[in-house]
Order: sequence, then structure tokens, then C-alpha cells
Amino acid sequence: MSGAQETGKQVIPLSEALEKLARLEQENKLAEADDLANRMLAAMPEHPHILHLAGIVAYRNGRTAQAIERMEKAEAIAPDVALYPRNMCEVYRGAGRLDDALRAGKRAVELASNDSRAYFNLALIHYERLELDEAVRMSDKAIELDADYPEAHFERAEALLLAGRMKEGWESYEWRFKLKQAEGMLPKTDKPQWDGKPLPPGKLLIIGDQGFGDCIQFGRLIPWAALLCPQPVLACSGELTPILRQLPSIGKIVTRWEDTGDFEAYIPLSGLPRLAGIGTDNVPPSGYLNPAPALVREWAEKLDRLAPKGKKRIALVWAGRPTHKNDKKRTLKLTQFAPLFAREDICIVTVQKGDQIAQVGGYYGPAPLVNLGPEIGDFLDTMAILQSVDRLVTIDTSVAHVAGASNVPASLVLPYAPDWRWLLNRADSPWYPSIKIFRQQRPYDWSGVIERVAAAL
Amino acid sequence: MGQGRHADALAPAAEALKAGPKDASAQHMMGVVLTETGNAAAGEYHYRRAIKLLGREDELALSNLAWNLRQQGRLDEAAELYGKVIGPQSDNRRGIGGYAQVEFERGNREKAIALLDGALARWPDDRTLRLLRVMADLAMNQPQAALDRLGPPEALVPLEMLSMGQAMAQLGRRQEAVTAFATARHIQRERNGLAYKPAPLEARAAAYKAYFTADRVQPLPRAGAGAFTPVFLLGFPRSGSGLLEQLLAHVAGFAAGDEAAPVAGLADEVARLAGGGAPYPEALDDFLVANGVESPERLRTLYESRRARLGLLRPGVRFVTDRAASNFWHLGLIKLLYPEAPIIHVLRHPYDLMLSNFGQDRKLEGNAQASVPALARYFSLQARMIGHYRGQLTLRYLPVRYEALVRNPQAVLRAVLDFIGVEEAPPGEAELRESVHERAAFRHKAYLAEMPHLFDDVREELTPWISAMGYENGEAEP
Repeated sequence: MSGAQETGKQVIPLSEALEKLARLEQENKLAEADDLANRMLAAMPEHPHILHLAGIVAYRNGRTAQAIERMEKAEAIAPDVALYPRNMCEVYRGAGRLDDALRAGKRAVELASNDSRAYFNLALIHYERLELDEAVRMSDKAIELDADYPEAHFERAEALLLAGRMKEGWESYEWRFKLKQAEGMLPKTDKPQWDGKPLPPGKLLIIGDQGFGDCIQFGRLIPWAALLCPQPVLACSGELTPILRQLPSIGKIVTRWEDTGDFEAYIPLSGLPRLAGIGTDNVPPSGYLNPAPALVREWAEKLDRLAPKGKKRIALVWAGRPTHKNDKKRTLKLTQFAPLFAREDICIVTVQKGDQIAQVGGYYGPAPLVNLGPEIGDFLDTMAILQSVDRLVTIDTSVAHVAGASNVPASLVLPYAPDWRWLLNRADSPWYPSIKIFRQQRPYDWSGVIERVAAAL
Repeated sequence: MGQGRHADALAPAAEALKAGPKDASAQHMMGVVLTETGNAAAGEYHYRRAIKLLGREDELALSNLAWNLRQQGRLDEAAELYGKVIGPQSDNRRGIGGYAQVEFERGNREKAIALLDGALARWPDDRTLRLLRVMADLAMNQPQAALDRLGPPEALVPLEMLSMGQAMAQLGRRQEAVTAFATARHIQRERNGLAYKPAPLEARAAAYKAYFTADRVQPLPRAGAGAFTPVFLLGFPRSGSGLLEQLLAHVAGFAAGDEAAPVAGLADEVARLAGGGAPYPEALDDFLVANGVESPERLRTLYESRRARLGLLRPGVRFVTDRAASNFWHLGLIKLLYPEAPIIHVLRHPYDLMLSNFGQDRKLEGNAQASVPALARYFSLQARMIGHYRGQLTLRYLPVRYEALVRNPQAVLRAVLDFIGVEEAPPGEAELRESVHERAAFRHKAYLAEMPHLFDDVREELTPWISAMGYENGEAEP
């Protein structure tokens, strides 16, 4: 490329400046990238690639509207560059503009029919639009072009599982350990993954591999595994230990790889449904977690002191772990539960943990609110508290699983395109009969959802 | 002391006292300093020491002690003492003024006015006595009499100007009222240096927020049940927490602790008890170690003994209200001493709070009364601090609205009693109505109708709170 970019008194070729900008963005040096992008734009405001990269930088810095403006301008100047609509597809998705995302995604594959990434991006959009057959088809296209593309396989799995096509879904789901973020989840070992055949006692290592919710959900299959391999060893994080210790048949629980002992095969917890052939009609029953009576009593007495008498107690969780890939989609603000708070016959008992607990400080709604989160030590506390409330209202987070696994009535609010485990078009869950599901009617739009939850209490 | 810098006088007064503990004037001086810096209970001790050392009924010391008792809310004792020392021929003008205030507050208005009128007949040019008489006019809703007594506005000092503004407000001459308040505050800022100084308050808020987080507070030891249940009343000045306290005082089993012997005084003890050299609140970490676990219990005992000294723990008293203005800073410490004590937060429309505080002669922390923007910033600081504690701690917290309290005191009192866990019926409507003097809910509306730009300077600061507290959508309106 010709031209030059001026930085102070130093003049560097445009190609180098563009390369530097892309590098800064990839290395997450976003403030520096922003500064460079702005200077480059000031010098060459009509250059499509500068505009495009500056758009990505703006997006990464949380300025979505500016990102779209820059990227649309780039596309208008250079409509035949496939990279532009490909990346815009993702930015539109982040902005919740799924029609535009679909248009961009289709344009990207039209311009670059051999670009596996373009098909993958399009598959993501179809999932968000609940066009699951198309999501699978686009994932397959991506896989055709690049057979060793874990993200595409995983997207295929999620679409199949959400559609209830469990058997096919579980097979593709096995690709999850090849995803970048799965690094370190499995032990470094030359031992094989368990194939479902019997093993001597203590020789199977089960790994709590996914999030807390997944471990609680799939934990119900440990007794099934123990029938074939008695006293399996369970490796999981320290936070899960107290709750998973309740499951029968476990030999021992470890929190460090070096304590796993001499196992002959391993299996991630999330791999058990595939081996056990779990579909939507043969899920082992819930109710496999039960809080200790003494702890239940302790929390019940505390709640009796803190909560006003004569009101229905509704436990509430409104925010998930911010690092979760779908957190933006699933997390609400406390204020969005206003229709619930308007009911003066209820008392809100927040069992929220983490930084979002601070939102309680701004609550002045009509329903009384007891903020129990600060005193909750672990999942056993949460499980015990839930025994003393009439119902849990929650987003898709681990507390929903705690409630479901201990048969506590719960109202679960879900995004339009939910996680696969909650399936589609149903208000119940084969995994947790005590959970009633309230779904978004439109993508990224919570209007009406909390109203329905409040009305159904 | 002569310059009114009582906080600065504390250290030299302490040195003087240590050098001469049997010196009555040193004890007396300490009594003055402590009373004027908000530690009236300790001040009382030194006044009594001074009187004992003097060996006679010194009029100045006794009337200062009476004022000290008034500051502690012990009006009957204060009146009795004043009655002893302020005779018909007394020349103690400040004493007469204090006596009149106490009698007025006890409901003996005629006696208070007689005292003031008698004194003004002897010293017609005494502006302090005149101002007290004006305040009595205003309290009796006689604004024109107050204006007549004050005379021409150009000759007024700021405190008189504030009273003039209040008289104007009572007469419905709102624009003149606002002008008078603004002029008084302007003079106070320019001539008396009473500008808002938020930096130390902001620094303190940041330090407390950094320390009092859920994860850090949860492992700290807590005190067990005490001799009585304190009921902490929060509220920005002029929000109605005093009214709620008065109403609760009508209920059997309750005693009004007012602002005396606050938890803030215990925060000062924390570093001493911890002994690790760290300041408050970091010193609380020492409570995790060895005998430190007993410290919350010791602090709670200290709190109780200070309340007992105030005569609050009469037989049958189970609940003692604590309305200290500093409580909003100390909800973290309160959590450790009384983990499940009821905390009642009286909310009032922020614009009404601005108006009410702007025209009142009451010094707030950091001189926050200096201007409406200063009041708004101080309001936000308090609201953020309370919000922080509510987010990070499990508190037994109930917000009530001033507007509902004056509209239907019995219903609000019933709700508060239910929350506290008291089954006794609240007093009858008539008895409660007697206490509800002020019908000033949403009075900012009348001001805004005449002066649409009155709150332009503070709209940005206050709108989020107005909205969060449910005042924006009319939820709280009658």
C-alpha cells in the first residue's frame, strides 16, 4: 500500500501502521489501539481499512454505535471486501441487530465462499434467531472447509442440543475440549477417556469440567457411572466440593490434579450424558441434592428475624458471572424486576453473589427486600436458604441448578436463544421439574417477561 | 474557644486538664469544648467536676451544664437546673436564652416567651435574644410578627436573614424567601468562610467503601444480643427522622435516644481496642485475632453503658432509638455490634430537603448547608454511602417516606412497628396528629411553579436519586 501515517515527527508506512493497529487490538492494548486508530482516522478519514479496524477497536472499547458507523462507512467505500461484512456480522450481533447481522453474514459468505470463519459467524446468527437447521447447515459448511474447526463443531452441537436432537448433539459436543478456553480443563495424561465399560473400584476419574451449573446438572449421572466403575474419583473446584460431596457413590473428591491417584480412565462430567445415552425423555430425576437440616434451620430462623411476616418470600438472582460468554444475554439489572417489586404481598430475598450485589443499594421499591447475599458462604448456604422461600426467581445461572437439583420451585427467565439445556418452546425442563421457564419473546428484549413471572407467582 | 474553633481547642484543653486536674476552670473549659463538639455526655462529666471543685452553685457553670443536658435531650433536667440559677434578676443573657429554648421545646411556650420578652425589655438591643424571639414567632406560625421584630433587611446578619426567609416562606412570598436564604448563605460563605469542603468527606467515604465490603466484613466477629434493641433511624437532615422518633416515643417500651452518645464515638475506640496501630476502619482486622474477637462485645457494652448514663434504660424499655446524624457513616460498625438491629431510613423528596436545609440555621458536616449545590452533593454522598452498606451487608433495613408519615402517621407507625417486631398497638390518631406539625410534603412544587429554574444547578446530581427513590413517577405522592 502507498501512503504514510504520521505519528508525531516519525513517519511510518501505512501498511505498518495498519499492522500495528491490528496487533494492538489483538493484544488487548485497547487504549493504545484507540489512540492510534483516532490518529490514523484524522489523517485518512476515508480509508476503508482504517475505518474498519477503527470500528473493531471502538467495538472492543464498548462504543458499539461508533463501531457500526465506522464499519458501515468502510463497507460502503469498499463493498467487495469480504472481511468487512464478516466482522460486521459479529458487531451487529453484539448490538442486538440480528437482521443486519444476517444480511452481513450472508454477504460475507457470498463474497468469500471458501471462508470457514464467515460460515461460522453466520451459524452464530442463525442460532441467535433460533433458525437452528440453518445454524447446523452453516456449521457444516464451515466444517467442510475446515474439518478441524472446534468452534464450528461446538456451535453445531449447541444448535442440535437446543433443537432436542440429543444423540447427534452429544457427539459434536465432544469438540468442546478443543476450544481455546478449554485449555487446562483436562489432566495432562496418557490415560484414555472412559468408554463406558466397567473398571475396578477407584479407577475412574470424573472431572467437573464446566461451570458450576453444568457440574450440578450432570452430577446426577455420577451414580450411574459408579454402577460401572465403583467409587470414582471426582476432581472439581473447591467451591463445588461441599455441594457435590452430597452425591452418593463418589470414592473421593480432589481439588488438585496431583491428588487424583492412579486412575485408568477419565471422563469429564459433561461427557457422561453422551455415554449414558441421555435424551429428553430419560433424564435421571432431580432431588439428588438435599441441604443439611441444621443449616436449613439456621437460615430459616435468620430469615424469620429479617423478613417481614405474612409475605411470600421470593428469592432472586439477577446477574451471572460477568466472564461467562453469554452473560450479556442472560444478565438483567435489578431494576428490571420492577413488576415483581410492585407486588406488596411479597418479600424479596436476594441470594445474589458477586459485584452486582451492589445494585441492592439503589433499591427503594414497594416490596421489602432482604439482601442475604453478603452472608452466603457457599452453595450449601444457598441451597439451605432456598428451603425457606416460596420460590426462586432467577436468570440462567448456577443457583437455578441448585434449586432444580433440590426440587425448589423456581421461575427461570431465559433469553430468546437460550443455552441448549433449556430446549425450546416449552415452559418446563426435563432436567428439573420444579423449574418453570419464562422466555423472551423477541431477541434481547426482556419486556413482558418479568411481568409474566410476577403474574404467575 | 473565643473564635468558636472548638475542635481545635480540644487538644490544648486536654493538656490544660492533665496539667491541673483539680483546676475547676480547666474542667469547665473541657466541658464547653466537648459539649460544642458533639460529645455532650463526656462534657457533662467535666461540668460536674468543675462544679464540685468550685464548691458552690456557680451560675455560669450550672447554666452551661443545663445547656449540655438540653443537647442530650434531657429537657426536664435542663429546665430544673435553669430554674435554679436563672432568677428574675439574673444577668446571664445566654442562660436566659437557653432556658427559654428549653421551655419552648418542652411545650411551655408562654413561659419561654415571658422569659424572652422580659430579657428583651432589659436588653432591647441583644440580637441573640431577639433572634430567639423571632424563632418563637416562626414556630407559632406568626411570620408577620417575626418580620416586624427583625426590622429592615439591610441591617440583618445571616442568621437573622435566614429567619426572615422562613417568615417569607410562611407568608407564601417564596421568591423573597429564596432570595433571603441565598443572600444569607452568600454572606456566610464570603465573610465567614462557610464554604462546602467536600474533599475530607469524599476521602472518608472512599476509605469506608474500600474496607466495608461483603467479603471483608463477613469473617469479622459480631457481638451477641444486648440489654435492649437499638433502632437506628437514618435520614438526611430535615427528612423527618426526628418526627418518626417522636412518634415511636409514644409507644410503650420505646425510649428516644436522639443524637446522644452515637456509634461514631465507638469508632474512635476501635483503634485503641485493636491496639495494632492501624486506624479505623482497618483496625477492625485486629478483631479477627485472639482476644480481638471479644472487641465487638466490649464496644456494644460501652454503647449500652453510655445510653444507660443518659437515663434511657428505664424499666420496661426494650427499644432505644438512635438518630445520630453520623450513623450513615457507621452502618458497618453497627452491623458488628448489632447484626440484626432494625434500621429505618426516612426518605423525603430531595428537592424538599434542599429547600428545608437551605433555610435552616443548622450547620452540617463539611458546611454542606452553604448552598443548594453543596447540599445536593452532600445528599448524594450520604445516599451513596447508605447504598454501599445496603449492597455489601445484610441489614434489617426499612425505608419509609416522610410524605407518607405526615399523611398517615398511624399506618406508617404500624408498618414500622411490624418491621421492628412490636405487637403493641400504636397510639391513637389524635395523639399522633399532635406531633405531626409540619405539612410540608412536596412543597418544592409550589416553588418550582414560581421559579422553574430553582433547581437547575442540582438537577443532574439529584435526578438519579429522585428516580431511584420512586419520586419521579409519582409513586410516593398522595
